[in-house]
Amino acid sequence: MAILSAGVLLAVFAPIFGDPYATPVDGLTPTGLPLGVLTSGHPLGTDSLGRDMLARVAFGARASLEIAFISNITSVGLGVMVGLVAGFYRGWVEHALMRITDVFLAVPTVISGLALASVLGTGVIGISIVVTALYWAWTARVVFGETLALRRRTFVEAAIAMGAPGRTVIRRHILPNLASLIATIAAFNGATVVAVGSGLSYLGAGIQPPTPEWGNMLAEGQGAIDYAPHLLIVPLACVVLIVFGFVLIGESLSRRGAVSLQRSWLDI
Amino acid sequence: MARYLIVRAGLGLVTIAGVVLLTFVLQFSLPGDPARRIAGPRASPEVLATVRANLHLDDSVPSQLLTYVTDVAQGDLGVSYIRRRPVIDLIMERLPATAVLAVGGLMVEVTLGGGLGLWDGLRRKRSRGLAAANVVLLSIPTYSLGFLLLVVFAYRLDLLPLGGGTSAKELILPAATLGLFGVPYYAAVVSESTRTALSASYMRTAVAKGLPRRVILRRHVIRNCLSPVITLAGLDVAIYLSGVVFVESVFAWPGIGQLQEQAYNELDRPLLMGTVIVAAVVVVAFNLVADLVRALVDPRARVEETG
Repeated sequence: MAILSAGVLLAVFAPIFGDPYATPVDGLTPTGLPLGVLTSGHPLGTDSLGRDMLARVAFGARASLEIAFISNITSVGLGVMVGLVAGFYRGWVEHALMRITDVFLAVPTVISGLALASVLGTGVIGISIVVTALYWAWTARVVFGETLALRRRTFVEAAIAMGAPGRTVIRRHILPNLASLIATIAAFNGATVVAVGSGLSYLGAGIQPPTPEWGNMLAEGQGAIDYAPHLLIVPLACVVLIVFGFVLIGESLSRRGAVSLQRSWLDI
Repeated sequence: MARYLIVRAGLGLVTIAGVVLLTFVLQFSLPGDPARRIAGPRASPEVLATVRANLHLDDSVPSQLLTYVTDVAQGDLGVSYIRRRPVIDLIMERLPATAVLAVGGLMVEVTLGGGLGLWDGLRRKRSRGLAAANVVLLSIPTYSLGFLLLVVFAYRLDLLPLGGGTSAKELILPAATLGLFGVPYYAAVVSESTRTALSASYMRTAVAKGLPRRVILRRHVIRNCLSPVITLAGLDVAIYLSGVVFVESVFAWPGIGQLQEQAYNELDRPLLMGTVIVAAVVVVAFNLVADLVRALVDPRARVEETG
């Protein structure tokens, strides 16, 4: 939690760390190399154009975390809706919805992400839609299974027998019982979504430079590994820490008995 | 069992049909005019018209869909715009390299993850170190892990080649990257089923009748772990075979993942969609195979699914 809050604060207060596009005269060494970490005025050094790394990481947090939070909420939301409806109403609704889910589960993640990104554009909203399209089905599958199990429990059957309408049963009896499961899913899904979102930018399909985003900063930093390793290490540390935050939350939630780790979840 | 498999196979076919439909819709939304991609920027209107007619681009949408579906059903995924060769051939050429990488990655995760899991499961208390290592491994994105391994082992220490080929030495790093990522899951699953086996009543019987430790381990503990590991491995092989873009891109491994990345960069529509369809077929097929193999090694699964 603390890690995630720190990330959000960094993103919200990004402007106080300076202008990510400014290329100050003192941004490079006399020989034209980036400044290292802990130079005066640039706590995290500068990048190969002399731009302040701290400002870039902070603004990168905006793009990366916006994508992460938007697509986490939408993919989990969509997945929960589909899973609930399919698991509760059964019949042809179940078959139709679960076949669609299967299709999205069978599609290879990264390459479909690239293809979708070329259609939907490379803005924050576009990438969020792409990531949502790639990941909602995992949630739907798990929620579907859980709903099926809940539906056979006596208190749900009793509610249905009493003539409660479907919507009421879902809201009053099924959703509250799924809450901890959904929270765990959201945590693991969040971890994946951060990694995939910046992964798309890393491959050149996501947020485009010069807009700073952790993924495209990583790609930039790889070229400089020899003379300025902090260009790689700083954004990498950010991605790892945020994913780490999500995974820790997920681990502690799942240890309370909600769900076990899903192998395919974090697979990219 | 046979009936169950037939139903599963039928569902698999429906899934593949859905993927084909999805790629058809996607093709329309990709940027660029396919006829112009093939004929080149300076083609005359007549040439363009011929190309359009050859690709059935002037037909109505339903008729285009019909052509597309019949072609795909016959294994014809179209011709690559850039390479001017059938997509299916291009994919098949890359398959061996990707298969080698998949097997390598799988071996790393099964041996390392299985070993660690068994070790952890046989301990009286869960190892905190293993749990911590799992969480850390889960947090590193694949592409960065690969790049860091590359920098440390191939560049700084100069122990292994930088990649670009498919020799055994060049396999080590990409396979390790792919495998390391899966180790936490295998360790967790194996550790869990080892614990289940150890607390089962048949274990008490085995110990009571004086079976040697080695036999107990082999016959009761490891056998119990096989079924979940096979499920995991089936899923993994499918995902690995369908193209691991990040790992292949970092190590310049000439497999399907690299082909996909090139197809994306070149906006090669048939190639891009072809790899997606092939990948989906592989995933569906391997899920089916995993079901079958699990039924063969684990008698309990057979009973559950027929009963």
